[in-house]
Amino acid sequence: MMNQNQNQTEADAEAFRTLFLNLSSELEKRIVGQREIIEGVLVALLVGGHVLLEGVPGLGKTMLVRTLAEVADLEFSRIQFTPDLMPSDIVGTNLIAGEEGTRMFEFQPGPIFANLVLADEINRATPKTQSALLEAMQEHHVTVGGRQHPLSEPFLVLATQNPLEMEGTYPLPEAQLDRFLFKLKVAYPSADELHTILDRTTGGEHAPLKKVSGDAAGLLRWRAFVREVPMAREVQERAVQIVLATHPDRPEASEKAKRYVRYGASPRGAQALILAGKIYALLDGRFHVSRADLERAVLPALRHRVLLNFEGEAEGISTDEILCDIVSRV
Amino acid sequence: MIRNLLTQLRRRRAIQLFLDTWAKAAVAAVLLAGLGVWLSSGSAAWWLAGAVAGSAAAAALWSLYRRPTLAEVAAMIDRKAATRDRLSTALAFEALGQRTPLHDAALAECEAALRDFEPQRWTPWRLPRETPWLAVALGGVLLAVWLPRHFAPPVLPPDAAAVATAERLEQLANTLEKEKTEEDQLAEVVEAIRQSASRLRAEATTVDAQKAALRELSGLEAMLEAAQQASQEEALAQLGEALAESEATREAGKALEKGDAEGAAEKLDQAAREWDEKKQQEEALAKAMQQLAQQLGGSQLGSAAQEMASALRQQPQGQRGSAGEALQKLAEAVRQAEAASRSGQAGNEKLQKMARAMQEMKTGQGQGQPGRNSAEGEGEAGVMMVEAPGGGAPKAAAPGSGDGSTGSPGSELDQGTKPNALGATAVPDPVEPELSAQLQGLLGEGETLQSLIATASGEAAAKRGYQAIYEAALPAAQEAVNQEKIPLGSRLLVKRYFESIRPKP
Repeated sequence: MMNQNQNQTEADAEAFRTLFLNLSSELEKRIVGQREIIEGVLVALLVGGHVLLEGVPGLGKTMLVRTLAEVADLEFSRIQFTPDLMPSDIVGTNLIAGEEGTRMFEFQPGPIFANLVLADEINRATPKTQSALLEAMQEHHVTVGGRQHPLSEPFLVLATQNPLEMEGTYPLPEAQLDRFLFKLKVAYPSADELHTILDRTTGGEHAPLKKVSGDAAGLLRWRAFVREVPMAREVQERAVQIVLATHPDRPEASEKAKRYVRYGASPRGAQALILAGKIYALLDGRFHVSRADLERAVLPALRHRVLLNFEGEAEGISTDEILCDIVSRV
Repeated sequence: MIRNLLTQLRRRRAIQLFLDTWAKAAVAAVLLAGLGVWLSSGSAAWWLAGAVAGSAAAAALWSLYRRPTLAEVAAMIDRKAATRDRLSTALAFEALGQRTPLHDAALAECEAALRDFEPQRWTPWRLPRETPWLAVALGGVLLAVWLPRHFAPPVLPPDAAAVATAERLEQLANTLEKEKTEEDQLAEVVEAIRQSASRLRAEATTVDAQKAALRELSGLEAMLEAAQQASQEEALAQLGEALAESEATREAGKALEKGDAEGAAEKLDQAAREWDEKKQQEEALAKAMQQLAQQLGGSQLGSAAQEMASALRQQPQGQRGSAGEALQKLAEAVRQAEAASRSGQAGNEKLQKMARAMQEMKTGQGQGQPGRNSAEGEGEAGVMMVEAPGGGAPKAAAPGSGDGSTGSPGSELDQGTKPNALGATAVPDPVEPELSAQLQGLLGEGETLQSLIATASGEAAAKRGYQAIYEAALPAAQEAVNQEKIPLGSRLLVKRYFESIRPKP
């Protein structure tokens, strides 16, 4: 019986690995390079977290999300954030509807009612509109007219923001940044990758995509499976140490953190480290999380949760530098 | 399987920890042992054995207290061997009471991955890093112990002659102390004799013990000569003052006060011839002579003064005979005193006795038994005794005088010659005269330089230090700056401003 369970577990783990690799290979049919971005997005999808993509325009952020929805067979919607965008434009509104004599309010769901939501240039909307997205991201439901409307699962928000043209934008508040599992920086492609992009986009038809995951329920089962991956307390201690080391007022803090950091990572940062570590362990063919798995997730999981102080910003220090310093010293 | 493996590894780690700790403790213990050997002059072997045993015990206790846990050993091997934390995970999962299928799968995966794992490769035996330092410390201590013993001069038994001389000096000092009067000069002599005896005892075990004895005795002799000479000159001066009391001998007294003893003697001869029988002069002179005789005691001058006083009081009025003779005797005594003062043989009776005792000790006479050869270790007081040729009675020889057959040893010393028996100058270095000077000048005259030093008034002084003020204001300033949206181009300027007002360490 025990061997049977073990064999089943190993088969599940193998199936998970296959799913992940298939999704990744399908995405790579459209997205050239950006392996870390693809991996990060898939980890967030299989863990149930949201992703903030940061990069200059034209690097394929929207293409990535659209392709993911297509290969994962998930419902996709895109919201272009602008300063005049209202919360009801996102979550939906109650409209008067019905036959004569029987008029009543009817909820018209907004674009957020989808499995994959692309919030394009999220920092261009007003804080009021951004906060409407906040409730949906955290609670997985929206409240309109005093009634809660649950969102369809799996629900994943992929927000993009442009680091340039910061005039007239509304940087996301710290509380909202903390809702994102990962913050991924989309880098400019290399020369070879650029050649490949040009070949693919200026030539004939695109290679056809294949649906991989099956259905949304299947994705939810994989999420539950990932959470069951065990972890030794000694390994978990590593995640705690790293997160505590980002707090400048803690004795565990590194010298750079004490000097340049204003606020450290929240407990959600540690959660993100461990969940991502579990995925990395399964992808590595193991059933337990190692310290290396946690360290692999440090940058995408914590870089947006560590806030620099004025001196850090004036010095041009990046949070990635501070996190690398912490990982090497703690 | 994993637990057994880790238990073995922990044992190795504990032993290695013990060795490392022992090496560290041994370095310190050996250095302390070296210090102990140096300070207590005890056995180096015992000190070193104690250091090794003590450091081993301390290292064992420390290793027992700090021995690694299984989890720590697992973490260490995981880190070194890059096992992806399989040891730590397997150890933790093995201890779980209830395991999920994923736990079992994880355990099976760990065991499979570690099946061919060689943990000893990652915990090799190694010499402690402090081993070279331990060798250096040990070698240093051994060298420090061995070198002085190897090159140290042999320790000799105390030289009997030197010890006996020291004892005699101490006896002499004790005797003089019992007879001590108010004379400061004599007290100084007693103290000098005691110090000489002490030095002589200290040097009795060296090869130069006999030379040291001679050196000390010669030094004392020279000191006594100087004291006697000073005493004789003082006596002549006192005689001059006494003679000046009488009209008849005033000229002689003045000559003596000027230090002209020969002239004084001639004046006294002249006074004897022209003796005027005046009662007052006789009485005054007799009184002065009596006082002088009491002060000078039994010395030659004292006897002459006493005789003069008796003669003046016994002669009938108007007769010159015995008083004139007494004056002539006094003149003769002055001449002899002058001669003795030049030769250094006259002076205080006690000082003369001491000088004679010094000579006797140097020549082996006195309480010692002359005739015994000090080379046989039997001489009690002699310092350098050699047997005279021809089988005669042994004679003392001055050091460096050859076979001792020529004359009375130490005779040259008795003549007051400057070099002592060892050929060195025995007379102590003269004390440099003190110089005193006084600057002459006029107070209240001349130019005066005045300047006004401007300082902050008490009211304007800061009540708190700048550092304290800065630290108190820093959090609020940082919060304000963090909240403020400062344009990118101005951030550096703002940062520089805050750096400029930061207190310098």
